[in-house]
Amino acid sequence: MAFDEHLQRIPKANWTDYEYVNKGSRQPVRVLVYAVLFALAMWAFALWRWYDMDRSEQTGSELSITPLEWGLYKLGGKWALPLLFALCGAFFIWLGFRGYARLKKMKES
Amino acid sequence: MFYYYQLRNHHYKTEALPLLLCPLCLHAGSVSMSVMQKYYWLAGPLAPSSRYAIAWCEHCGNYIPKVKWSDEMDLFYNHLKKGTSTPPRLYLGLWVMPLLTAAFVGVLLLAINVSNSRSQSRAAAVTDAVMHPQPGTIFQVVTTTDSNTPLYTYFKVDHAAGDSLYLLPCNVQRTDAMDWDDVPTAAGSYIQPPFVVSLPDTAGGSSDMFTWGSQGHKYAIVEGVWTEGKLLKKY
Repeated sequence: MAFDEHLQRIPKANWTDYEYVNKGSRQPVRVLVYAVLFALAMWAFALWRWYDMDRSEQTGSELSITPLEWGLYKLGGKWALPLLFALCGAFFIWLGFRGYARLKKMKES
Repeated sequence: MFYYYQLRNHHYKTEALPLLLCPLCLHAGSVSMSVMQKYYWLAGPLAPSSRYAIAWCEHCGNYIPKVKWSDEMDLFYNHLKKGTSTPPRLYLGLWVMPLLTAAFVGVLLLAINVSNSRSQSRAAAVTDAVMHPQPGTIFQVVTTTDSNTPLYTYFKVDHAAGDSLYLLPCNVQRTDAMDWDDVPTAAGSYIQPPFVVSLPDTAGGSSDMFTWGSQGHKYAIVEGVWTEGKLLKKY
């Protein structure tokens, strides 16, 4: 059976639930671990940028920022960008929990 | 910078595995498995990713979730996987992309080099026109007003005598360079009598600058030369 036929039979949103790569694929917690690691990276980035912006505000030193960061800074000050990334991190953890719960339910059914 | 790429799937093989038991309906002999591989695509295959398999049961008609795979299924999957090798075309991007990047950088450097050499030859031609002035040649110059603001104007060569050059100032003087390249060529645009400047001193590295007045307190930098009906710019 070719890939396109599988695609028609499995809903695309759930495709990864059926992709077996290795023995680790059998662990539902894996998706949660990846999500937490990704969220931690985003939170670390948020913290780093907040620290840089705070120090720049306190000391008046120059800080190189991207246009996106500049736009967010104009909108909500030094908290806007870290908050956005912190929320994204939380969103990924929520996705991780959702995936974990779905796979766990599949495993136990 | 953002790159839009796709993840595509390469299908290796699909096989029925009669020895396997379906972990969903526990029916033997009805499990089939497809081995595939993801690869990145950007106008062509970029690089392969991991291989994977999907399995389904012809008896119950369900796909088997990865968390329900048995050890036996894993064994058969690894056996099927061993019989496959990644097609070389999936690695295409790993050498095409660096080559394209190198070609792009090479063309960019070549263009900069050509542009620089053209600029140098134009500057050399302008310097030559300044050092060997011919009557009728018009110099496009930047000088300053008494209040030290830039003035964009033209000097026409009346004649040269020894180390001195006799120039006619132009009655067209601009405060910006917007229409500066519209060189006034009519004789009436230049005011008599000529004023005298010293020929530039090439040894001092200022061959594009005229100075005049006591102790050279007035100066004009030559930016272009109008000769034989065309304007030759330094830059």
